[in-house]
Amino acid sequence: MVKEMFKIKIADTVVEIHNIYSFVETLCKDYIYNGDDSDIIVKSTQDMIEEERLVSTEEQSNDPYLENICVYRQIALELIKRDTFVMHAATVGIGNKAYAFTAKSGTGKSTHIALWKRLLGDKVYAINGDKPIIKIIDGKAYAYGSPWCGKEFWNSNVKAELNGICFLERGEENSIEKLDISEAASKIMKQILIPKDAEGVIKTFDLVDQMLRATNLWKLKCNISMEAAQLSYKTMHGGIYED
Amino acid sequence: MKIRNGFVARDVGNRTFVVAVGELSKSFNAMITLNETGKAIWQALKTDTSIDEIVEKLLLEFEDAEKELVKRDVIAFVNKLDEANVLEK
Repeated sequence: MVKEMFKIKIADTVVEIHNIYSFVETLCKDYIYNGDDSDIIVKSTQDMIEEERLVSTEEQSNDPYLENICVYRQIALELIKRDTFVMHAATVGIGNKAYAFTAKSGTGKSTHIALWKRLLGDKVYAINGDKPIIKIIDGKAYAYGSPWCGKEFWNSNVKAELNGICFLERGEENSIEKLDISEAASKIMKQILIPKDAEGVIKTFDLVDQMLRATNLWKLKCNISMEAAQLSYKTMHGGIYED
Repeated sequence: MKIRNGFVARDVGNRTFVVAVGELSKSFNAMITLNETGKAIWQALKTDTSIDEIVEKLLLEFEDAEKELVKRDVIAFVNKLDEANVLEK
């Protein structure tokens, strides 16, 4: 076991990571940064890994895996000071627009974006299948890829303006409607990492508020069918890129 | 009575959300959502106060409200906060 260090650039931020196990560095291979500067420094220790083991709800509990979770948590908490936060959502891009699908685990976010992929082919790309980074710049919300992206490893190192958040529910029939910002706020709270300090909470809540005001909010009831994907794509993207 | 130290309230998307921070976050991990009336009562409870004082404050803020109804709502809300162990007496 060798103490290591490497740097990545995510959401326009250079992060220096002092790790114990190589797993996290392998995971980050598409985001490696070779410059001398760094904006954030995170260090993992065996104690932190043990703490992570106590709170972890993940299926895997080996040390390298837990280290990668605790590194991302530290990065996420540091990023908040830089108008940036991590949200739990399956996020895809079309051109320079991003669409985030969020729901309780097991509702079918991944299934729905797989349907988009079948419908749209190479026109749609994964930004992050599980935990994209959201940054607020001049009142606009942008989604960024990151290496921490769920079990399908859907991610790409890109930035795209967040043009819609879709709250997904299972339904017999397919329907989509605009979602009221208050209802969206209550739902999104379950999908973000909330810091334990007052300053962090205030900053996070303000960023979430700005995101909700900057993007389109949708409620989709859907079954697993191409018709569901067609409905959400046409409504959310407005068919701007239709051939 | 008043709200215990360690809570942060902030507006997100036209609702107010409350979470515990610091030491209190270890024992209190629920999130409280407040509507407009709830927010006004919460504000009043930031400093030591009583049911009657809160009702008076609310009647100033919501002019059309009936006193008896306001009092009933305040008591119900304060009881909820008390049950959730949010208040100190």
